[in-house]
Amino acid sequence: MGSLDPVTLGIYWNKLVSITEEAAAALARTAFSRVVTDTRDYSCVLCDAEGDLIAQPLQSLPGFVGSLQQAVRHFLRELPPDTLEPGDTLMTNDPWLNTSQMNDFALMTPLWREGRIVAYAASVAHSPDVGGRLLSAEARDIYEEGVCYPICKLWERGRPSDLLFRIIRRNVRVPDIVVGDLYAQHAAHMVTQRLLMQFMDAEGLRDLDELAREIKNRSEQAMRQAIAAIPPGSYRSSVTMDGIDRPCTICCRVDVSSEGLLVDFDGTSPANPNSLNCGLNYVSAESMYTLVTICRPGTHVNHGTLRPLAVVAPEGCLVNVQRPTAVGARTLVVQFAASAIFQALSSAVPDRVLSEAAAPVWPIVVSGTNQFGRRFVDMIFLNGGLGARPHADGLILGFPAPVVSTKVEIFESENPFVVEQSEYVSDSGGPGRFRGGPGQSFHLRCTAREPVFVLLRTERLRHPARGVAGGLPGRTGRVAWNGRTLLGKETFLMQPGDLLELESPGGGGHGPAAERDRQAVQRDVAAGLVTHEKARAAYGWPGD
Amino acid sequence: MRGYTVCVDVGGTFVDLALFEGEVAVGFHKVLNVPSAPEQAALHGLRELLAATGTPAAALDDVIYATTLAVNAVVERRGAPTALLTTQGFRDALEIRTEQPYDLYNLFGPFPEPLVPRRLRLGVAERTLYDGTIARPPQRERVAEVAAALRRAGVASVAVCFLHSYANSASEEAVAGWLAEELPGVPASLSSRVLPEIGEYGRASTTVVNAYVLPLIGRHLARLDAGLRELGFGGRLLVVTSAGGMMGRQVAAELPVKLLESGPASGAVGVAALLEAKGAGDGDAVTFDMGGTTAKTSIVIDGRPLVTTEYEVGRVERFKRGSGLLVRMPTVDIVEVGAGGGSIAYVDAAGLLAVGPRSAGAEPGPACYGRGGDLPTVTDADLLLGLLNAAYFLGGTFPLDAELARRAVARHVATPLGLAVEEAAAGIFRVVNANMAQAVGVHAAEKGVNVQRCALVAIGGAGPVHACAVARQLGIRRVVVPDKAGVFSALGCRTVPPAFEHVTSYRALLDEVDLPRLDALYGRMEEHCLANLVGAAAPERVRFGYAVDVQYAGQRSYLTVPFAKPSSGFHRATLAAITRTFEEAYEVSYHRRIPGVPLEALSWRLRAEEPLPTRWPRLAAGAAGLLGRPAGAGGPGGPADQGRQGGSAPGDAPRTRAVYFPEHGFVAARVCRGRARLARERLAGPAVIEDEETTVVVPPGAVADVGDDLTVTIVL
Repeated sequence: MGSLDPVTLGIYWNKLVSITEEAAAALARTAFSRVVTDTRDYSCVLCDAEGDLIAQPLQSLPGFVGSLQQAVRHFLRELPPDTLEPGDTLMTNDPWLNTSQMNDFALMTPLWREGRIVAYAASVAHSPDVGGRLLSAEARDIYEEGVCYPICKLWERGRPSDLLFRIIRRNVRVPDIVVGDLYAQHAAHMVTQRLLMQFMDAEGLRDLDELAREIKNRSEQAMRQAIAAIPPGSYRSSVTMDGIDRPCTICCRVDVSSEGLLVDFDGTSPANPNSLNCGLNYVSAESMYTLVTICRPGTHVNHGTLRPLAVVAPEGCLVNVQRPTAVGARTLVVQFAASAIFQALSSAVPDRVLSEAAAPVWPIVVSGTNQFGRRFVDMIFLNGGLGARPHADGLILGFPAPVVSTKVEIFESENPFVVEQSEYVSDSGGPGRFRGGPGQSFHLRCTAREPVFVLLRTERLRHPARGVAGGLPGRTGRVAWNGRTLLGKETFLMQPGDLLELESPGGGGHGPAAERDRQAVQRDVAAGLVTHEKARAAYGWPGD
Repeated sequence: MRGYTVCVDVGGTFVDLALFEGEVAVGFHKVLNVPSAPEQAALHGLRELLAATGTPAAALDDVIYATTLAVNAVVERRGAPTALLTTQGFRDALEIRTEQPYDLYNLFGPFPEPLVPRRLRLGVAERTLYDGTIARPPQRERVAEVAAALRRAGVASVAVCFLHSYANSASEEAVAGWLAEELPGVPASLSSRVLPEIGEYGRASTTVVNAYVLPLIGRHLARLDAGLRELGFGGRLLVVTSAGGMMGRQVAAELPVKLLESGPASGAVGVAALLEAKGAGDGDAVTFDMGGTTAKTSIVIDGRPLVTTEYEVGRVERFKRGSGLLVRMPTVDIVEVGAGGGSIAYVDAAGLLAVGPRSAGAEPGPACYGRGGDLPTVTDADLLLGLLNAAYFLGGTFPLDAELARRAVARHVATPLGLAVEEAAAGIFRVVNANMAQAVGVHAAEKGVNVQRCALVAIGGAGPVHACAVARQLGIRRVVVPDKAGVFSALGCRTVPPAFEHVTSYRALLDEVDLPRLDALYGRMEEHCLANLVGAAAPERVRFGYAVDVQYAGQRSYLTVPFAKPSSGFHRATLAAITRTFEEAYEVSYHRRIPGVPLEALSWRLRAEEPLPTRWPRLAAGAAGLLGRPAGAGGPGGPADQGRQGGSAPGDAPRTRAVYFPEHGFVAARVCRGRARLARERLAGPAVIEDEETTVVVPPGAVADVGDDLTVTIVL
């Protein structure tokens, strides 16, 4: 150990985390897009002079943390430190350099002290619009998904690039929001800069090198110890999703050894001809997050935590697609990857995994003219039930992205719809010793004067979330338009008076249903969460 | 004989009382609470206090009352069997919550059970639209059906929360009328009365909390009132609100959700009054209240505590935002920044020293309590660092065992980290101070407050021990330690004005606000607030405070912007003024404005208040606590026996002892016992002032002034 004792090091480390917390708070409060403010679809981190992630906010979107790490590497490869100047801020939304989705803008600002770069502030936030077809699952290549900005200096020596901002404005439907969010990200970096320099001044630090080294090494050690608690071996699983025209399967093998954890997606279906695909960078980030929730190393997560983890997949399969394959629906893909990892490790550490989660959050885009005569583009989000927990029933929670479902009163006061139902779906949680989380309904009646454009991107309408350790599958989701069942990925025009019924799927159960506590079964029946028929069939409930 | 007031603050363990003649405090008392009958404990304490001071109950004008009973009933789930009626098809908003994990890396953690289980959440076919149009009125037959089911289920309280009832309450009112006939004696809490604010989850959650504690609080206040009358009391029983106002007993019994945080709110209002009296920190302050099991902070700006519109009760994980039940109600913004003196120190997964959030609490407590706790805590470290005197903890009534502290710190911290015991103890002190300072700093930053302009007001047993170290980290230069900190909230009650707040949502672009509608909305709110304002005050003495939640259209976080309402009614100039205030406030918070984006109003707020001269009470010479110690005293957190303060002989304490200071290590510090002897004196640090209820630590280079009223003001 160098000059940093275990007291001072802990204090400094916490301080770096709290700096990122303040920066993230600044970003959330100044961002415009509801995607950012309501769904926390952003992250804001601190990297050391080598570009390694050393601190991030506690409530930061985990999938973005891992992918930001990779984005920073790409930034520095393209524009190494000797090409950077104080006041520069780099930007890209290139899916293969960032989060595998065009709508995410990554920004990075080098933080200077006494003429050298001591750290980097980096952030990513989901933009509601980058041009193109608005995240349609039907895009056939990346060019339909919007305008791709290669790595560039969005701020140069402290000045915003007039040309770039004009190009961005000219290519989006809601330029004020898109540009406002980019400024919010930049402002968050400035907060990081100010707080970091205050901290380094107060403590008399010239650089963060030793501090960063200790943080990374100690986090790596803690992660390795946590991994050692998992029985070594090779564990396999596969998960099937509805897909768009055809089902696709994600195969997964997790190797647990003294080297660490390796996830291999060999055997996964080939890339889809639509946008239901993901780049390895983002699959890797979400997979690592899933592994951290299983291992629970007990430290803040940073580059050191992720060092013992590796994720690979054959090129060209749907979790490792290459340019110019479309990737707009990648969020749907990664949650299945997380489920596959839980499923694979369920035989090794059943009390550390969730059962299969129902579905990634369903995004539904609606667009038209609202009751005030103004144009609107909004997204309805709907979460399904999470898988049952090893010691408790499943919940409805945003996972792996902590997205909030659309709430009724705010939605109706902005958009030309009346919501006719928003409630748990009976019998939707998979039976088990612990029941899967229930799905929820959202039934909308169109009250617009003109037709409203609707784009669906739902999943698990045909392939249910399975249970683990003997638990049973949850119910599939359901989408119907005026009573007619849909496949779940359509785009169409909703006419005034039309009814769209959305019912999200339930999560899988954990453990055998026969072992469920009788009082819990009785309680579910009394609550109407489980019908009498289902209770008798699945749990052998004797009542009537 | 009239002109007396008594303030009663019922906490979890103790009941604190303070008696005033006019504005002068003439007596204090502290008795153990009786959780099964808190009104009896309060009445018992009151009788003793009145007897000791020879004050007849008939001489009391007001009893001002603060209590944790409601919040404890929620935390301990001792409320009434409660039902929730919702619009049919929407009964799960309460349980679905915000769908946000409060810890992204722990997917297995528990969430609080909703106060109303699903079988008691029932739908009524009815529908009101966002603009207040009633698309479908409720039917009496369905309500009768529901009432029958609730009767069978033994429901004792009902919450009603229909969609968009903030825009039109008619359907909720109709149902309440039928329920009163169908379920006589079962009170109904309507969301349109409790909180007519947009957002079905927040409104339902708040209304349900109200319904859940309503029967309990109603009975409690009625019994307390009856007990007071029996004593001969003929004045008003007033209850402190979470927002730092007073309301009458009847209003409190109908809206108990308003009194959840009455004790802490009294304390915060008291701090504001104290600062005003001291002229300290330009009226801006950060409070730092550190006790055995918790450390809390709040912020006072321009002589008023900051109030938040939203907070949580009954968190399943104490320091995790989002793990509790949501209550949207004006509340003095008090946040927990640490687990207090009982916080346990350990070596974490990274091999580093960490402190808390796990706490040894009061039982078994720190190792040095000698009650079987063998884990090292902050209090143990404080003892080993010379900050505390083992022989004079709680005035010597509760001796501490330094050897047990040494053993615990050695075993769990020093040995694993390869440090000397004193180094380890110093580490614990530094880490816990850094954690608390950071939490205070983040809270202040979130509020857009520059803490360096504030004074730090330290209360609680451990507050004055850590205050200067925490202040230094925050860049705060002035620390204020009030006297009588043991009954601080009871003193604070005396400074709380009669007040009532209300809110109504009317969402519109500011440019498109319908002015006649706004006039009508405020006409109703003013009437409502006046009707609920205690004391039938002369209208000309009532001050109305107007504010509105405003955001840039499209953003999702609003600022609450105060404005002045013209007596001639609203006009466009009012809205222009709101726009200017919002833009200025936004710039302060976010360092920019966003030209060209329209502003949107969400909810309109009103506070009616009858201002008091909010002076900090003078303490009468010889104002005494009484009658020795109550039964069961002598444990940690034990009572302050004010009368004995400073009574020890000068030879009792050594003149100096070695005390640890982060920037200096151990240095010889002057030790003064009892601040009563130090009135009007100036002390140069390093020094410690040992009181019975706390120890004031003055670091080297700092200067402490002890005022007439024994308030200690330290300049760093």
